[in-house]
Amino acid sequence: MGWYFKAIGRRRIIEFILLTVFAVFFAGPLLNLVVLAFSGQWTYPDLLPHQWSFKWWKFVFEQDDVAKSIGLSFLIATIVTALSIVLCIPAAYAFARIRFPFKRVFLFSFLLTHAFPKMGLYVSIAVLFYKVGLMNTMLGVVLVHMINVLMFMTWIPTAAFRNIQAAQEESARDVGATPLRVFRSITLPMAMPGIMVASVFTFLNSLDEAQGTFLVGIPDIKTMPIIMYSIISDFPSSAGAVFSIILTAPTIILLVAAQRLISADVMASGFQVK
Amino acid sequence: MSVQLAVRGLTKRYKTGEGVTGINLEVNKGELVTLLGPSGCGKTTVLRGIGGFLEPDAGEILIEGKRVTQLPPEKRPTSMVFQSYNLWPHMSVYDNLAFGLKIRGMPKADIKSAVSDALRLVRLPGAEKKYPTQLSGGQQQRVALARSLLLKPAVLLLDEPFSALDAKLRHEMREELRDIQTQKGLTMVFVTHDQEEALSLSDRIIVMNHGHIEQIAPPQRIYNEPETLYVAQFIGKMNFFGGGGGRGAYSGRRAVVAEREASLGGRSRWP
Repeated sequence: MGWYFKAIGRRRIIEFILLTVFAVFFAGPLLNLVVLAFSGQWTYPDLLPHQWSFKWWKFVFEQDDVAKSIGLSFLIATIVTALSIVLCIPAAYAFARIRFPFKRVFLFSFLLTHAFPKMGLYVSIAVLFYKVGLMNTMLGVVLVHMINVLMFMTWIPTAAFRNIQAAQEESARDVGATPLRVFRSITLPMAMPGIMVASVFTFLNSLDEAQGTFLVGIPDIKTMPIIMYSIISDFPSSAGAVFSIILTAPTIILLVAAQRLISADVMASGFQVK
Repeated sequence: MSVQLAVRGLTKRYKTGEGVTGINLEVNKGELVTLLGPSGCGKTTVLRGIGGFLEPDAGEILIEGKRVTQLPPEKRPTSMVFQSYNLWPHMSVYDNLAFGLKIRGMPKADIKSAVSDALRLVRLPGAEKKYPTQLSGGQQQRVALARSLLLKPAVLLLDEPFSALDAKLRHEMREELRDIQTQKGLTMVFVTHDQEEALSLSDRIIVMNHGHIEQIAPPQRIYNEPETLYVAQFIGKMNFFGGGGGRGAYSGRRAVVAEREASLGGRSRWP
């Protein structure tokens, strides 16, 4: 054996060990989760469950509020994404193209919502929402979700618009396109990768948001993460595992679908403030 | 010969103090006129003024006798070839070329044949399905030129179109442009800071300096009989003799003696 390790060299061995540690650290819990979700009976010293079953899947889907919460979560995420596109894309275009005073200050102000401890922010928002009657309403939850994503939704498309050269828009005007046509046929399609990345971010962020939803949406607006709290605390861990997989699935599907668009370039350029 | 483009008293001042003042020029039909000058002299400002990309502070622009000063770029009978970033990377070459024609409501079959004709003219036949990123810099400028030509503009504007290309390609493109221009009888305004380019390409050259026009003349005249010291210095290597050293005789004016490098075998005869 000794000669074998000598032949591959110390460097390779260290690399291999590091990779293994990383893989176990990263994939281990996920693997455990998957196994747990499909286990029927699993007693302590065994490495694998001695009975596999779908019973926890059946159990989770038989819960009334679970199915409802999945629908609700996707509905809210869709609304949040659509609304923030409508709101943030024009803002991003303005940040990229129009000169106005205190532009950088405005751009940085989007960071503020991420600068405070979230709970503190939500509590003060809740106080405000009580006064205007937005507690326990869909609109209230949507607004809270949007606060979280304003930054991504503005910064990334701003960078995308900024990367489009003025000459590219001007040459479209030159061949006869009205400003509106230029935006529709040239500017928007060229900024689309950035906008898509931001939208996927927004959608996933909204699906995942629990704190703010919990505070503002209680007791009627119960999204997936909220239901998850109660399932984890009330039922065996297998139910929680099943539910986590349900929660993770859309993330993985969307990321794979958007993989072509999510390049490090697009992401990084979103966080440059010029 | 009729006047295709007339610029009268064009003035545009930027906040930085740069810009152009009182520009007057006329371009005849079928003529290729070059705006020549160092960077920052205002030549691009004049061109963008003609194309409608900036609003002049004062002055008028007439194309084929019609005032276009107030019109936005999409309503002007001009077309511009930019220095770079001409093409839209998300569209194929065909879509790039067809965009303007579609806006004009041309039938699809006509667009198709017009596009393939235009590509043949710029020596890129069959490139319809390619995307701009698959083309070299020179090919991209050819496509950009084809796109402008397709619109049959009354005046074709070119803003240093070849300056991003290497020297050999620049030469070739220059020849091709000149061929196409004479073949189609196009009226062109060409902006460059390259004296050689201007001298070899133009019917007439407009030399600009610090936002005003120094001289308008055919290349030969500009070279042999520069009207101002600036033009003489800018257009080539020459020997200058200071006048006015002696009392009164030239009252500060300078006699300009131009010596052609070529006739001296590249070396100055003056010790």
